[in-house]
Amino acid sequence: MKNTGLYCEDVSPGDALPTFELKVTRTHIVKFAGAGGDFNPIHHDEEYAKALGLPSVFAMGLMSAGYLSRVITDWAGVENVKRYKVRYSGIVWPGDILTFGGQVGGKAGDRGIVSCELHASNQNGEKVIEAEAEVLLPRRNA
Amino acid sequence: MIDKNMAGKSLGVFEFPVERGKIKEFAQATGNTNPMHRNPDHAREAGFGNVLMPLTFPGTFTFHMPSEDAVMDAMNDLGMDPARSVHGETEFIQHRPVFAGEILTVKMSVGDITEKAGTRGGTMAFVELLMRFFDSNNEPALEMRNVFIERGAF
Repeated sequence: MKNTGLYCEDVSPGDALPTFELKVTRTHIVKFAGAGGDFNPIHHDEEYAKALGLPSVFAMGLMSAGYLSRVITDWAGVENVKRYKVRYSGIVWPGDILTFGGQVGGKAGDRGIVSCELHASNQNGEKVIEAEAEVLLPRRNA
Repeated sequence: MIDKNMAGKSLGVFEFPVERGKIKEFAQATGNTNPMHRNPDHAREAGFGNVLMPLTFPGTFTFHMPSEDAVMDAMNDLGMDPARSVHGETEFIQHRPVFAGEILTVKMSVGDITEKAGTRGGTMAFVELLMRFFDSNNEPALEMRNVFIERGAF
C-alpha cells in the first residue's frame, strides 16, 4: 500500500501495535484547545476548575482520542481506517504519564478487514481511554 | 430534566472546509509528525491529491457550527445539566480518506436518548449527538457520533 506498505496477510491476532508515551502538560491541553476548538474553561482555567471542586484542570477526551489515534494510523495508514470508537474511562490530569498502545484483534480475511483494540493507561496502570478500530488493509494477492 | 422528545431532532446544517493549515495545526496538537498531513508533495507521491485529514479532525467541527455555542445550546435545549454530564464516547467513521481542499456539508442532529439504572442508584441518561459529513457529490464521507452521559439527580 502507498503509505505504510502493510498488507492484510502480514498481520495476525495478537500482534502489537505501535506504542509511545506522553507526559501530559497544560501546554498540550492549550494547544489542543486551540487546534480542536474546545474552549470549555474546565480544561484551561485553573480557578474555574477548582471552584467546581476539582484538583486542577483536566485534558479533554478528544485530546486523548487524537493522540491514541496515532497507534492505528501510524500502523495502518490513516486512509485505511474505517472506524475508530473511543470510550473515555478515566480523567487525564496534567502531569500524568500516558502510555498508548494496542493489539490486533481479529481478521475477516476474505475482506481484508482487521479489528484492533487500543488504549492508553496512566502511570498508575489505569486505563484512561479505550478504543476499537477497524481498518481495511490491501491484500497482497488481490 | 432531559427532554426525550429531542431524539432525532435536527440541529442544523453547516459547511466544513478541510483546510491545510488547520490540518497541520491539528496534527501538531496531537503529536502527529506524519508527512501525509503536512507535506502535499509527500501525499501526491503516495497517490493522493493533497494532504490527508487526520482521523479525529472532524472534532474541529465546533469552528464551523452555526453559532459558537451550538453544542452548549443543544445541551440546554436537551435539558442536560453540565455539572452532572460527562463525555462518554466518540465514534469516527471514515467512509473514505478526506483531503485538504474539500468542503464537506455537515448535518448535525440528536440521535438516541436512552436511560439506564446507575450502579449507585438513580438513573443515567445517554444522549447521542450525530454529525454526518457529505461531500460535493452528496456522498457520505465521514461520520462522528458523540455520547454524553448525565448522571441522575439523587
